Amino acid sequence: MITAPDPAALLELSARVCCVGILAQAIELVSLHPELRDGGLLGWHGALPATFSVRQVRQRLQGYPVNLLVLIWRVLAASVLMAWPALGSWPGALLWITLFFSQVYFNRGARLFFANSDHMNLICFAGIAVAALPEASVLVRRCAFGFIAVESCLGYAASGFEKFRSAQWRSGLRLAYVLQDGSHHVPGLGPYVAARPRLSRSLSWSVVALELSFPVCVVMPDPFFWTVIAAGLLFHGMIAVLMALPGFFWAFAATYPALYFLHAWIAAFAR
Amino acid sequence: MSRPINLIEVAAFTGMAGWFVGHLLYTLPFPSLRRHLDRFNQGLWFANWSVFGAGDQRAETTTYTVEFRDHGGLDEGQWTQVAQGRPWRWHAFLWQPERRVADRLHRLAEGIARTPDLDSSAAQVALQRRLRLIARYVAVHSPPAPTTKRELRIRMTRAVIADRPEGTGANNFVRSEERVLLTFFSEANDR
Repeated sequence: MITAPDPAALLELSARVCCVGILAQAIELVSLHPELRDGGLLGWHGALPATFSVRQVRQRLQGYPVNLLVLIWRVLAASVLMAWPALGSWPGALLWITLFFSQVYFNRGARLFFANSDHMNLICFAGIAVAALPEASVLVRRCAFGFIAVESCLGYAASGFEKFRSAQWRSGLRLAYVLQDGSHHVPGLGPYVAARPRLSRSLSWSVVALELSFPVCVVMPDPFFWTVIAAGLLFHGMIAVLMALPGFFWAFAATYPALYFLHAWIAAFAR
Repeated sequence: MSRPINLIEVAAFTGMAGWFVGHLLYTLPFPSLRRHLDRFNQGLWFANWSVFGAGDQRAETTTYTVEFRDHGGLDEGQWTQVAQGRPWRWHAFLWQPERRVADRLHRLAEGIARTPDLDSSAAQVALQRRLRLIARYVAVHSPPAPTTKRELRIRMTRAVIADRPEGTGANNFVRSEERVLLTFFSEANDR
């Protein structure tokens, strides 16, 4: 009889990938450290109200040096949890909960920097924190891990569907625009793709197909599943290298063990 | 013997289920529903998955609206004014020497300008024009506010010329926007 895989081992893998992502992001933030100060991207709290108020306190908390302290805490917690994911113990659960709230802190206060991939981090931290509770039953762990998996599928599916609906994506135009964005790492790539409409169109369609495949792959046989996962890693790896967006790689790679868990769980049910 | 109900587990189940359902609803293509959820969301609990990988320009506009509403202190009403091309309070951007905001605004304006399937209504044109102007203005200039009309015109002309290709009537554009800016500056100086 085939049973669902042990969520604990996969959870640890997810947890470790999340921690690597946090540390990688911390390195990026350290290189942008002036942005942590007031007026910077991560320390920006707009014009402070002149009078004492809840809003003033909230804005001060968002600014320097609190943001630096939260960042340091994230690095320390992620370093500890990477070595010891500590699932099923109160110290570990509390560390995961603090990571969750640190993500809330940055996602809320620095939305220009912390965007979509950080939302996936938030979801991963929530799921892992629930699964890390010492009193969590196997069912709760499975559901928490399943939650990460279905959110990942939803993210991919919504993104793929939206691209599919867009005439510009279908024609390849939009991808060419995206690649011409001045903030990306490879300036020559955008014009190169833009000059080759067939290449642009086929790349666009492959992205759409990949994103729409994710919710399907969990119910498909192993070869299809692993092909999609490998393509997903390649896709996010390319985005990290070519578009200078490494956050997506770690955030979504952390959900892949959850996808595998869901895939194996469904397969076990089907048998 | 049955296991006693664990309140933490119940809360976790409920939270995750509620979060997922909220996400699912947010993803559906119903703008009015999304607006309702946005009041609760504040850009935090429900990601706009549809903009992953720079999805659709309309969706991006929604995201930027949320970002700047929160970061720039603009509320929905003020953003409606922007979209409708009506005067609004500019201080949210002008007093923030934030290059990245300027860059992103500028890119958004460029995106709107070169997106042929976007609604080319006057509102979109006005939004694009203002975003471009603000972006350039924020990038090039910093406080204090100009105190005279002449100073304002010089700054605006510089900003607009730097932003526009030659021969597209920068001076006329400056004049047309001048009144809006002066209104704002007089409001700012009154405070």
